[in-house]
Amino acid sequence: MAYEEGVELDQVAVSGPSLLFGAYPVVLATLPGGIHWVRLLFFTLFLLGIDSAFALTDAVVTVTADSVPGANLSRKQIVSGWCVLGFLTGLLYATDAGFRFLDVFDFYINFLVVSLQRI
Amino acid sequence: MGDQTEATTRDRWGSKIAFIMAAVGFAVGFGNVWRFPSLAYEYGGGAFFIPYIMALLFIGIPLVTLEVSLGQYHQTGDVGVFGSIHRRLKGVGLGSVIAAWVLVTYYAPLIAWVINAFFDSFRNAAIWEDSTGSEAYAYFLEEIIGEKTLGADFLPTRMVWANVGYIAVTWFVVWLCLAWGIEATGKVTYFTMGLPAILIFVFLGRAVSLPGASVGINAYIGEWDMSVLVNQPECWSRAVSQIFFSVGVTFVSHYLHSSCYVIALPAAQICTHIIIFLFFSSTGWCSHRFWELLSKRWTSLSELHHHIGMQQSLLVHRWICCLRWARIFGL
Repeated sequence: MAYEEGVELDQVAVSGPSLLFGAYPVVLATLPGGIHWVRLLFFTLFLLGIDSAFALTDAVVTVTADSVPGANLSRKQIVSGWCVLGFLTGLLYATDAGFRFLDVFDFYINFLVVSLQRI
Repeated sequence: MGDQTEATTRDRWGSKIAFIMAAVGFAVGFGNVWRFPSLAYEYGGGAFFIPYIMALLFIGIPLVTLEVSLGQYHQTGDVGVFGSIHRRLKGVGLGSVIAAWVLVTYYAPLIAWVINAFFDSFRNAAIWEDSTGSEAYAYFLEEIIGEKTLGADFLPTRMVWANVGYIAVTWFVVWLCLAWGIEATGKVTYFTMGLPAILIFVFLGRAVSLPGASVGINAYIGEWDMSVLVNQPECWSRAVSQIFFSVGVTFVSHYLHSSCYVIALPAAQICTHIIIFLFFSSTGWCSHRFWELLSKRWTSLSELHHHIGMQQSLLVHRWICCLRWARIFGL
């Protein structure tokens, strides 16, 4: 049993999201103050994530603002439009199969789009 | 596009520091942090630094420098930059913007799950305090993301309403950060990058002082299995795609209104690797826990690799299920 579990834990511990959402919070919880460190970690991850998210959204907003149909719209309108659309797309990931969808899109974006674009 | 009046009315970053913070904040995200460790682990530990650094020096930095120059010269977003070179190149810019959009549509739910985990910890703190890394991760998948109702076919069966709410919250925060213009965005970045920068050093201090941390650090930079560079040639292309991802090539030309990116790029690399360093330390501690149990059964790391290889064939199976889904959507 320990044999089986051991393999899984190590595999899980080094690869991908489980590092952020498995191994690391558990390590932090051993600090004096325990769970508060875990909360602080999630807060840090939120901050790390949010500035990447708004930078990416800003890329889309800038292009829309420079385009012909976007020229008559205010920045606020464009940002609002994309944010609402982003929320609606996000509903796909709010299903219980959300993480599977994320895997699929992540695979395609990183290995196909990003790589092919620069060949 | 490049005409003078438009260039002067365009929003500017409040200061150089704001720009650097924003660029670093952009480049340090979840993806590059969690992708590098598994790559290094898979491709010869420290030896992976060789293709990685070569890709950074010969592909990453030249491309970013090129993008800095184009962004500064044309003072516009991706489509405008490529369109200014030749109108038929607009599609290249458009492609990168579409990629950025698809990326952010699943990035926001990821942030939403983090918010969910944050609030959930007030309800159920024990899961983080009294379990192993894999148990905690299973909890994250099943309870936070909601996979407990997911069948073997991976078909969606229900909406996880808590996550719907948190995705709305995430997009509302993005809206707040962007709607007031780039100068306000710059100010927000002092907080969104500054605070993690401080916290990361606190976390690092804790991680390296744990028993077994050296095992993890050793797996990160200690072991240099050079044979990987020849025997697993795909490590070279993986290094290049990792560089694309971590320096944010193709996504950032709209950000490049300043040559500060020259400072921001190495800063982002250093930040990323500090975070990875601390993750490896804690991974080492996790493995230290059961390493004691296993030391009688396993004599070498290569044997461990063999078992992990078997584990990965299960992952391949999972992939096939995912890809079948992708085909349904005609991707």
